Amino acid sequence: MSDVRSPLVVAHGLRRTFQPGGRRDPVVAVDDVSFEIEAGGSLGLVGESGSGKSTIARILAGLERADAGSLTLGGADRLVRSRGRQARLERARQVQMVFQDPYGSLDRRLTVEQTLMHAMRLHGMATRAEAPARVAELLDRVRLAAKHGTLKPHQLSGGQRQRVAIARAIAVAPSVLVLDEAVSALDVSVQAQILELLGEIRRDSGIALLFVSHDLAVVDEVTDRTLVLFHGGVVEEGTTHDVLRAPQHAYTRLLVSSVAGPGWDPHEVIGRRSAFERSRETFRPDEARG
Amino acid sequence: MTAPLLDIVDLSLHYGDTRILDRVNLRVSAGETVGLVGESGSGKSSTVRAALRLLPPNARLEGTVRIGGREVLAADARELRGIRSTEVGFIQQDPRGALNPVRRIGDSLTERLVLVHGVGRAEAKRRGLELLEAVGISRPELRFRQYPHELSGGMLQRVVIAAALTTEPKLLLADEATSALDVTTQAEVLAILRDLQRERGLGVLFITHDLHLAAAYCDRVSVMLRGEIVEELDGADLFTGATEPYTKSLLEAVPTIREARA
Repeated sequence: MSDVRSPLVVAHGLRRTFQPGGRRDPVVAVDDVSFEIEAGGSLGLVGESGSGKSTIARILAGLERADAGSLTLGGADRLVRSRGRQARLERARQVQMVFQDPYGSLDRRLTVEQTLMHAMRLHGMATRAEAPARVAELLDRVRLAAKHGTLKPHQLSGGQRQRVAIARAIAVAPSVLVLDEAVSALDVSVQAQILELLGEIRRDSGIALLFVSHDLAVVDEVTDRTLVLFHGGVVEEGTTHDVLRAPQHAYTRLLVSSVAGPGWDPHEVIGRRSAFERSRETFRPDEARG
Repeated sequence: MTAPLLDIVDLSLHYGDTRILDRVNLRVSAGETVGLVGESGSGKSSTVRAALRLLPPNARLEGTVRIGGREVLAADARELRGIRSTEVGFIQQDPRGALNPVRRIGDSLTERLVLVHGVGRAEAKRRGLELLEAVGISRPELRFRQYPHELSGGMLQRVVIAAALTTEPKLLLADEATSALDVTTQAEVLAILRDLQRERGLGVLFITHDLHLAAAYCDRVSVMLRGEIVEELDGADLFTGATEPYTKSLLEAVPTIREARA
């Protein structure tokens, strides 16, 4: 990694609004969000549905534009439009995304091998001659057997499909992996295996992670730092350990205390949620919610 | 003693020589929440689909399933339609798969009310909007006119939950219904279900991979492994009372925010 002191990703004052159409007010999805990710670091984004987590992830991946703010990766501006196919491909290569539903993100007509080769060839990562060896290496890396290479997505289990999605992402040697609810659909034992795999990838290849999840316990396992979002804005940031165990902001406390456990009562959670909304209205005018 | 809302007795399912379910027994009574947990492929979803006979033609079913006292496996097409449309609400795991992508949310939401129950369109719309609001969807009037691709996954899941409740079923089969929702939204949805359970005795079969949630929310929890129910516990005892090695291994895999990190 180049310079240890300057972070790999620096986001400053990111803002994104959506115009819902008609005469309605624009919805502020991301509101003045700043964060940094070190090379090989891991940042968690938590917050309720509609808090802006996915929009931030998509801006970093280049799938969504920002209306204001700056975003750099290794010092290079990611918000300006790249000129030319090569530059655009290169920019796309650096940040790879893994989605919640691998079935929707994998081409169901392609075998696993074809999927991986396609990604590598697109980004010039391997020649035709090198590709098969690289595919074998990737399958091994994500703990899939060689025989899985010849299968299509529908012949794989959910956990195996997510391994393929991860293999495709790391096949092009990105510097950041963006995971949007990537383990949310998996059951606990498969989830544990995927989390372990992500830890390994981070350790071995120094790929940084941006990890979006509504599951705080999972965020606790894979991230060093966490950003807590509410209505598009950051309400708390710190080491994941501190944010989840000694939350400072009222909203973070609400989130942490809402996780199901002994004595959990949904009505009580809702009561606390509306009490929080009320306390918030006293110092901040209400705004349109998406 | 009234008959249970769902009574599954010795239910087995085969595809050719492959056994998917092996003498599964499950019972959900009025007002009760029964959890069904286990890894993917253990047969949780197959159990629900078998109970509604939503299986491919080569499926071979044995045993008995009664929903609201009515025999399901022996039912003819007409009876089966009656059971599905009046007795049960079914929430599938994938909301995008459950909604027609080229139909407006409002139409999907109210179609059962209009087509099966003969409710007028205006009244169906009123009830639909009320339910959308109840499951925590902002601006329900707008959502009513939108298409599935315009809504987030969390919002779609709430639409599907609302759709399952429009016809006021007595029994709800919820397959990972709240897994994609964040903690506060999940609480909103589960609070609605709990209210319905108290008010009109709704029974819920709750399939989940969140064992903490199963322990906190369900009255009883059945643990499935390779098509069999290996253990049945009170929700409150799930983490402390499990004796089966498989249940224990499942519980150990659960990510938990521990006080001190290793």
